[in-house]
Amino acid sequence: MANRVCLGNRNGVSGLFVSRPGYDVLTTDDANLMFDSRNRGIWVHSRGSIVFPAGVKTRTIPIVGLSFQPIVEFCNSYISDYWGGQIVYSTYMEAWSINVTSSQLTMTTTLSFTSPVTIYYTIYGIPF
Amino acid sequence: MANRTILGKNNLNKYGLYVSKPGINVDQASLPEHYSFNSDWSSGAVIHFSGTIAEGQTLYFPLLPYMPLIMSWGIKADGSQAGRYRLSWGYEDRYYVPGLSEYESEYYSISYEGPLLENGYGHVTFPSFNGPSYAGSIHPYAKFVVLRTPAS
Repeated sequence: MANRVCLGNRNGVSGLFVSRPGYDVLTTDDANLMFDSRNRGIWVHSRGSIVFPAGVKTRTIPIVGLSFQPIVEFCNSYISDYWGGQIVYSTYMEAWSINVTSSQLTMTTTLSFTSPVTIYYTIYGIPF
Repeated sequence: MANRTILGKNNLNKYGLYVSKPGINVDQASLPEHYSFNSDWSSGAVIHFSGTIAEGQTLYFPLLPYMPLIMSWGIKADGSQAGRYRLSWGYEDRYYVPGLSEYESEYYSISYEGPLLENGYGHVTFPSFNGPSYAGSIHPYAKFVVLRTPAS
């Protein structure tokens, strides 16, 4: 069975390293590491939901504890009827606008809802 | 406070590195959603390369031995974020042709041609817009990340 976890010295570099299943953490290429303490990874800062009451086209929520502009993914039940619950994009890009800073997220839509719509969002910590 | 990290044998008699989410005792974790990291997963989300790319621009990055998962988000001219371009798997008007390493949509395409290059670098290209005029003017930039995660 392959060595999978190395906490300490790996090829002269100290850190925490975890290889993908089937690869020996001590000998495999860096490309096969599923965790590498030298590199950044995608992490979830927060997630939640925003309700757009009927007729409301813009909502803003605060973001706490970030020093950079994050990336936001979102989906909703309205879209899920059409897109199978997938993230809003493609045709709906032009119908939704996200203005996100390090301290707040504002979502705006050009769509007109006749009943409340809940948007589910995930804020990813990806410093570009 | 909950125990959150196991390096060794876990409560399911498996060996590895296990980190539970805040508030969950890793000694009692059993479901995928209980973990923030689990070495039993098939892959992680290590960022290999990331950046912001403009329409018509190509960026180069060190080659990976497999087709990586690439995620990209449209960015408007004022810097605000649009939706995500979903890459590395086919969906609706986007398609992935195995072996050609190319993803396209009706409006956008971002290609990865690492295996085709010989100089040790892969590249991401955000070609000039080829769809209706409104989208190109709305999303002239894209942020992207290349993950050390095989796309398939």
